[in-house]
Amino acid sequence: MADDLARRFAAELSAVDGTPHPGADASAVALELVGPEPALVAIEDDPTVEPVALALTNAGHEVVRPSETGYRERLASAALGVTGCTAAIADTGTLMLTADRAHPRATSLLPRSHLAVVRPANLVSSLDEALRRIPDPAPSAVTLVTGPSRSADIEQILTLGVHGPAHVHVVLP
Amino acid sequence: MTTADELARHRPRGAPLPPLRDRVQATLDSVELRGALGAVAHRFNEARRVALAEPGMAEVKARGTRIRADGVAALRENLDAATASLRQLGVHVHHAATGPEAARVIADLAREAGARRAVKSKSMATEEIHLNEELERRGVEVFETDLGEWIIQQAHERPSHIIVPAIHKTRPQITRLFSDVAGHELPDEREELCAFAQQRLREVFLTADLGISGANFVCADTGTIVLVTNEGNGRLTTSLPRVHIALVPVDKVLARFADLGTMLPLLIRHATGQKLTSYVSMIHGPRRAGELDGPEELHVVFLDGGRKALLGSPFEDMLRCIRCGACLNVCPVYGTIGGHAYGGVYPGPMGAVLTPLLGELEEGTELPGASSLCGACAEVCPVGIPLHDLLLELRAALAGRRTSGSRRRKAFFGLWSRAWARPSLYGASARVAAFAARHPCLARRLPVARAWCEGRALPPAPPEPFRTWWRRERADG
Repeated sequence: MADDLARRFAAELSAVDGTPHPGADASAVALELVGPEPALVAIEDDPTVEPVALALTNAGHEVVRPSETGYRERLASAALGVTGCTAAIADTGTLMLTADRAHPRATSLLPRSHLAVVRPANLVSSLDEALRRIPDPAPSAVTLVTGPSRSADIEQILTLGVHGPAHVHVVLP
Repeated sequence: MTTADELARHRPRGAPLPPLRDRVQATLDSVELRGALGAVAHRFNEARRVALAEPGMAEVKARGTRIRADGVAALRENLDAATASLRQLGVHVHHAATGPEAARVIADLAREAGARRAVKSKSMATEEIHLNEELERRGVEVFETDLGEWIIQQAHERPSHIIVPAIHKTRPQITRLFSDVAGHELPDEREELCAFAQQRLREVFLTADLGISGANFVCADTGTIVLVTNEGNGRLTTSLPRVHIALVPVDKVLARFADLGTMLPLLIRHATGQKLTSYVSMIHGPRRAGELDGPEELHVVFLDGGRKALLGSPFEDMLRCIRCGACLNVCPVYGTIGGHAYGGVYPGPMGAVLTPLLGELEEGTELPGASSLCGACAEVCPVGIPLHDLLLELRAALAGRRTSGSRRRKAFFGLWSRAWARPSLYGASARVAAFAARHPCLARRLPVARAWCEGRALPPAPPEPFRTWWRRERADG
């Protein structure tokens, strides 16, 4: 069941110019994305992405977390934002992100690339199911993310990353 | 050559709009614009057809129509419930009866917040109330941040499509506009232009103290403000500045949060043909204790602007509209004349109905006539608005208003009606008409016919009237 959902999610995400990483190790994907040069990476305070923070720090990259002072200011210059998710919708390849103090809204928004890690329990089939998973009381912001930022305002031709991330990578179970 | 947007641009606020005929001609003269209109209609119509062909979409459309019809019927109750839910979440709620009042409320809020620099995500409602002019008049710097909106802001124009505002701008024109902003020549390359806009606007986002948005929906039961976007400027606008103000027309309220499971796919598939847009933001009040982003202060300004007056009228169904733009993309008239020719904020079939109803511009009264009544708009409408019926209804209402004082007109049509009631006089008039059609230069000399003939091409007249032909055929037979 979870396998089928993950497969559908991956196909839909590819169709909207996102990059699925089925069955991959999140730390390995993160290391490959930032490359060999030391980079600044913003990572949520979330147990799901804790190993990624450790791996990047050990590899000599600078990691900034919401619990540290200056997170908001430094986020704008981070090369990569790493998040978990509250739900992942197989029908549309959509991540559902919910905001709180450990999960700022801008981690998946300001850096040029966004890496999300999906756990098996996050996968749902439809939008309706995902909406039912929103905690009560509802978080201050619930965001559905379906692929990278896109615009076709110039000549009706698609351009990625006009305001939000140009690259969305999703590690799937 | 004067283009439609030049006509619109050079019009000082409050100055009379050039006649519809001139606005239309301006578009017809622009080969580039007609090409762009065709391209966008093709792209959206194809994507929508694919997206709607999926199983279950007919049922989603039926459900969405019911949700919106029920929502309109209970608009006042839903608005009260939404107000209460929003206040529960710590949102400051304001109600504005008119556009100017809404603009004043927002400008006052901006001043109280000490805001100097405002970022906006795309909102047709803020166009409707001329918010940018009001804010600038009060010393607030305003930046449109949707790429298309930013382009037309640089050009001092108005959107010509409700989903693709700068559809009428070519790349060389955009290169010129952006080069002026940059202060040096930018390469005439799409990627470079996008990168320039992104960098320039990112600096603005990081320093803005006020974010202004519209809303696609507000849920009455939960107080959720819903924004559907693709670029991410809507997320930045509602996440970074210290104060966020959402301008929400009263017809945007949904009764239940659970309705989003139907309304989001319905809106998005009809607007762009995507299954979901890149981003859907669902906002529940300002940032909470300990959170690092989101506005500290959140305001919702509900705009009536003539909408509640439509409740219970023959035009009530228009309040279901979810602004997807599908009726623009299928309309042969919009596809030929473009958005600026309509003269108001909302173009296409939905604009031809809404503009005169909201009393936005005096000249709007000629818009319901600018339709072939082919019904493509009503057919594509995701929430079942009988647009062509409403256009007819509006024509009747406006015609009644126009003729009510004119005795001469009544006398003329009275004579006409009596004449055509008699076969011999009808036959005579047909012969006169056939003669006039063959000699259009004569008809144009007549005092009344001249005005009527302007802008109209008469179909070629047959060599003899039908009745003459019929008499001969019958005699031969």
